[in-house]
Amino acid sequence: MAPAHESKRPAILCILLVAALVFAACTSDVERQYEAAEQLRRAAAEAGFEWLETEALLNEALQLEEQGNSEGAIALIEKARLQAERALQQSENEAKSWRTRVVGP
Amino acid sequence: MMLGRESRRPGSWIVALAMLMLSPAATGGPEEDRVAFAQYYQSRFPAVTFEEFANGIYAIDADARAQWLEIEEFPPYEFAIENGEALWSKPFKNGNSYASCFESAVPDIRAAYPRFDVSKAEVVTLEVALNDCRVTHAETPMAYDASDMIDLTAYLAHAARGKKIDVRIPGDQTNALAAYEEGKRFYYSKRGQLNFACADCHVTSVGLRVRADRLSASLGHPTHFPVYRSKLGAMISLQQRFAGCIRDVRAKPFELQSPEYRNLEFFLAYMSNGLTINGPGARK
Repeated sequence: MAPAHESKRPAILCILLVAALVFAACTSDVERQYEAAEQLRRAAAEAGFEWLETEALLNEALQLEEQGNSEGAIALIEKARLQAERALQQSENEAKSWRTRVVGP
Repeated sequence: MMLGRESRRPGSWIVALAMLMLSPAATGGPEEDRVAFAQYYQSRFPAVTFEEFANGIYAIDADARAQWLEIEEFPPYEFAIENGEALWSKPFKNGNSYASCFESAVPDIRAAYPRFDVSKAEVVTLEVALNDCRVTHAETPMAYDASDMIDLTAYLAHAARGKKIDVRIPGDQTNALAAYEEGKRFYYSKRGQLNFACADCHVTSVGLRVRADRLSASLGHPTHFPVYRSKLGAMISLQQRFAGCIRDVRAKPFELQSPEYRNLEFFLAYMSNGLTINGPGARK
């Protein structure tokens, strides 16, 4: 016979699955997209290449969402996401290409 | 004297651009970099002497220079020097003063910075040294954009007029060389929404116009800060100018005295070794 704690495992997994589904259902598109864009922004900042407006766009998006303007919020998040992606691309490009500009031997 | 019109001769452009194109890799050490950096500007502006580059944009823009010479008759930074001197002389609560933190006499302090501090394994600028001094004597550190902080550096720069920039990178200090290389990488890296490197404006496009202004040479940038900026009606530090440029290319500026800016200052100051300290200055 399986030990008591093992027999409880399927029940715990079910509870976790339900919790995840509930969380997913409760998490709006705006929140998910915001989180994805924010992660990219943080990565660009860590690389030292964050662009000027990205964080402000995300903050503004949160305000629009609070006012019930999800469509406007998503448009700003998308803009921020593109900026963060391009900043990261810039950081990757510059990892090598900065050397081509050096004045020197 | 120098001047922009002469610098636009096609010959000097071709020589300078050839120098730039013939240097595809950053393989040289700091001294080779420095010599090539100075030669680049001297080939772009053959009529400008090396020493004249300490005057920044006024070395290559005759109209701006004429205005500056008039401004210098009643220097707008004098109040900053006076306040800085008063702050320097005022004892801390424990009875000590800034002078107790520096080994050199007042005229020699400015020229000792930025320097690589081996024990801290980082670049220490004059502003950081002043705040370290405050902390040592149980005073609250100042914000790096506080007017009192900038006035203190104005006083020390004024006292150091005539001294030469002399940044050293000890051969046995790999950390110091790494800090220099980081500053160099920052200087030549494109960033921001406009995809510009410091070098794009101040090396490749030096002397050209950005709307009504000419782009200055980086050779000599660190000699004259802090400066009084007429458009702001206030003094600013070199690193505040860094932040302004970073914002102008639509990148997010770093914190003042961040490792990025300190390393950049270290690199730029090394590039200007041998030039005369002539701060504080006045700029548009």
